[in-house]
Amino acid sequence: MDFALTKKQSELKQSLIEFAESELGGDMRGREHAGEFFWQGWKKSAAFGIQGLPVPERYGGRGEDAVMCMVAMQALGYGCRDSGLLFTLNSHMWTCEMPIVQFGSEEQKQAYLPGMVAGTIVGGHAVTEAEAGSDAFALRTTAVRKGDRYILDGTKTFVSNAPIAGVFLVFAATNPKLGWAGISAFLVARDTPGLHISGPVDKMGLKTSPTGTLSLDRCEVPETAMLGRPGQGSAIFNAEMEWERSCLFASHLGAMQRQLQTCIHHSKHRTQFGKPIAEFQGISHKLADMKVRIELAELILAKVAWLKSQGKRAHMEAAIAKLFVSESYVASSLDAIQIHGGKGYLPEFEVERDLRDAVGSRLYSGTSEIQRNIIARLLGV
Amino acid sequence: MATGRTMNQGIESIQGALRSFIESELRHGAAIDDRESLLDGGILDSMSITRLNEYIESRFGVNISDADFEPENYETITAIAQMIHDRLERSDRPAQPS
Ligand SMILES: Cc1cc2nc3c(=O)[nH]c(=O)nc-3n(C[C@H](O)[C@H](O)[C@H](O)COP(=O)(O)OP(=O)(O)OC[C@H]3O[C@@H](n4cnc5c(N)ncnc54)[C@H](O)[C@@H]3O)c2cc1C
Repeated sequence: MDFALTKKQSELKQSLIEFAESELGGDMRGREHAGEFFWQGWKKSAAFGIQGLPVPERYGGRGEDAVMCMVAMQALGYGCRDSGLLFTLNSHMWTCEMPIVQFGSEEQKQAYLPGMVAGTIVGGHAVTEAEAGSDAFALRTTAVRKGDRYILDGTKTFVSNAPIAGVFLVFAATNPKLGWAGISAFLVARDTPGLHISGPVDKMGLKTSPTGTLSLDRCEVPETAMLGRPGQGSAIFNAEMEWERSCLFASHLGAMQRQLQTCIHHSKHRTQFGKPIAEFQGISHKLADMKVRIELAELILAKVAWLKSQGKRAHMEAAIAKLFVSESYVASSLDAIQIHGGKGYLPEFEVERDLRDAVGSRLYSGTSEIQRNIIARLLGV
Repeated sequence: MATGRTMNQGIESIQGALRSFIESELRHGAAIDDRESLLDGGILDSMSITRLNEYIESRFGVNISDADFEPENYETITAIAQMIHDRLERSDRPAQPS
């Protein structure tokens, strides 16, 4: 067993931290206040090669494996203060780009991947509906075949990147009688007649990542817009969730590492009762707990990365990672505020933002309760 | 290549193993017919299929990626057995000289 990063992984990690710290921060508070997406950061990320990390070289990407991708997303989480930009990058890469890499036809790969790598096309992912959240496969959007075309009807909510995306991976029932086994996935371009996009909607956190709603009103796509085969929607969804539950949460692990550094620095410099607050056990134990969460999160994410890079199934491990990282992120964000005292509560010190982001992490990609259900089901109970 | 007779016997034993697994692990012991719809009847869902695939891999030594899911292959125990049998046959077949 080898826990060390290779030279190539360490170099990528270091260069990404430096890149993110110098190029992806900027006036984050201003953008957050305005709810503004950081286009410049997005373009710089593409120029750096971030969007192309998991994409084969023949489509302009870097063709990196799951371990490299997770190292990269963790480094970005550490270095990038714009958590909304990071969330948009992660949604784009793991829930739209990666499904195309894994399930796309050659024609679909040629049509979308080079643009998604170059940053000229942003991807979105549309499964959630008003009546189908945790029970995602209870979706009501339908795709009815008409000759060599499909007609999509329905409404998708909570679509990350909707206001800025050029293509959406939309899940719809092609055979409602079969329930989850009758769901298919479609690549729907933004300018498709019948697709209406609204938003952005305001959120508690991740304010620089725009979220919106899609209405599909007799939205007609060619049969070649189907990703994979009829009925493969649930398999595509489960495969992309494995990626998102590991790589997106690797970014959160990076954020927790940055958070710990900030807390150590503050607790060594803030003096009360004549000594640095780090010397009070009430504070030092919080720092220790934060470190324990980070170490354990890193271990389970490394296991998922290893399984995926070996082409093995990581359904259970990805659910454990998602659950553990998100719950740890909330706990550590609360600790960080407590360690900073009153300043931790003020936006200008950029401590409380982590908590607002962390709360969302217990909801998207399947809530904590749903991850526990997955783990229990896979245990056979 | 298997003869017609051994092929049928092979499929029957695969069906038997699948039936026992599904009855004990996914049906709390309730009996199931090999031609009963697993998808329509809600016996298989998107989670139990992962468990079933894990079982198939360990019991029959074939690689089944969850991503390969096609409804036709999981419609009934008979269909799943046929899929496993076809994969076993393919992995048995010697590589064709190029
Ligand atoms: C920031 C953000 C970004 C998102 N981005 C996207 C996106 O890009 N695309 C997309 O399609 N969706 C997206 N979502 C939607 C997200 O996937 C859903 O919000 C999530 O799956 C929960 O569904 P829900 O909100 O309808 O909650 P509900 O399903 O109504 O759940 C409410 C509560 O009930 C609990 N609950 C439900 N069922 C069970 C059960 N069986 N056992 C125990 N507890 C249960 C839940 O855990 C939760 O606590 C996003 C959400 C957020 C917050």
